[in-house]
Amino acid sequence: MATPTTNVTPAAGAARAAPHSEVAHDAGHGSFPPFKPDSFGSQLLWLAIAFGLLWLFMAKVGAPRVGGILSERRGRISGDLSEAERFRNEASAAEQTYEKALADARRSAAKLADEARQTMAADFAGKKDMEEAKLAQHLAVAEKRIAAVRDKALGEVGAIATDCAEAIVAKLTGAPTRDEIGAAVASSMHLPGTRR
Amino acid sequence: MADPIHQFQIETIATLGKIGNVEIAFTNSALFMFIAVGLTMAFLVLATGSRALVPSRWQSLAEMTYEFVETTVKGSAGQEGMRFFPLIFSLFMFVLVTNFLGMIPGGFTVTSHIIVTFALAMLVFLAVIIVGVLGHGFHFLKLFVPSGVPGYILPLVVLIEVISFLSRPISLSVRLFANMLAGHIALKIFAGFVVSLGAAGVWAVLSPLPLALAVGLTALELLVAFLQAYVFTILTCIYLNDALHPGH
Repeated sequence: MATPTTNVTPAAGAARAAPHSEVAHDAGHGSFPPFKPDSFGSQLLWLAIAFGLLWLFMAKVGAPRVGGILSERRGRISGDLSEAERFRNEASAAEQTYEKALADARRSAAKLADEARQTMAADFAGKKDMEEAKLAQHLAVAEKRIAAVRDKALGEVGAIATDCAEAIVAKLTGAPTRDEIGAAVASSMHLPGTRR
Repeated sequence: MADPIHQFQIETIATLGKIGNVEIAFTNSALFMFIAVGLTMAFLVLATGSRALVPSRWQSLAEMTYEFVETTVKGSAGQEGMRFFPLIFSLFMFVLVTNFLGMIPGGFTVTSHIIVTFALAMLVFLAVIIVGVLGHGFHFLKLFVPSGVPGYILPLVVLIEVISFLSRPISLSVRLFANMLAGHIALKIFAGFVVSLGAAGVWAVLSPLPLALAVGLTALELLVAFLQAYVFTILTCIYLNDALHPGH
């Protein structure tokens, strides 16, 4: 190493510092810089100042600042998560309520339908019975009337036939008795009556 | 070839005076300490400027750094260790940034000086003793008496424990110092080979070899720069854990 490198003193302090400089210079060539004790004082002083400054900064500004941001974020995230959890619980509760209401509505609708069906069936059966009874009554009346008409008609048939036969016999034979004619009519009427 | 030791030279920027017999000067080392501290502060303040809920890249980086150290502290020293988080975070950032600044060509590696790493290690050592004595008083000495050791062997074990405790600041400081020093020397030597071989006529064809090595070493040194900061931090946490829970 040709160039002097140790303790380059500024011009202002050159005169005063020159002897020290020379000594340091010689020592600099002879020994290893990290083991030269003449620089230890300065290094320790500046280290104390610089590191003390950094420590103070970290304690007052650096660590609280970054730590604050981080804890804020962690708090925000956990807060958001718990809020989301709460919303989910609410939603599932609402869903349960809805399902329950739906089931209730279904059940009551089924009940209503059932009741309506039963009422209708009972109503229908009652009406049917009534109509049938009415019909049967009408039928009975009609049958009775038919029977009456028939009996009347049958009753008149004898008289008509008697008159008719009387007229025919009178025309053919003179004047038969009324009793003879009546007996003849009765016997002839008996025949078709049994045949029927 | 360039002197591989030259990069560790302390150069005075301004002489300020004397305290007793000790000359006090603002040096390149002090300059890089303040650059590291300034960069760390600027990084943490500017990156978190928006305090965004969804972080930007820079904010994400600041948060990752914070959480990395937080995990280390909580993992090694428990929740109580978080009381010392500002100190541990400062140590991590200071060592990390000074290590990385040393990787910049022309830069100065503050942590390549044993006095700096030893001072930081002593800070940790004293913090452990103060925290331990304040927190547990006489019981802090239980740290040296592991439970479940037979009586006849106990003196020996206690002696070993005391020696290992006292050697902590030395191992802590020498580990960091030696790693940075050795790495930078190796890097410088291999980089010097490239130049020497390049100027050596026919031998210039071999110069890519040390160049490739220097490139690889640079990557390795970046890893070491981070790793040593992490090792320093995690050991600090483990030592603090001893002070917080001395019962083994």
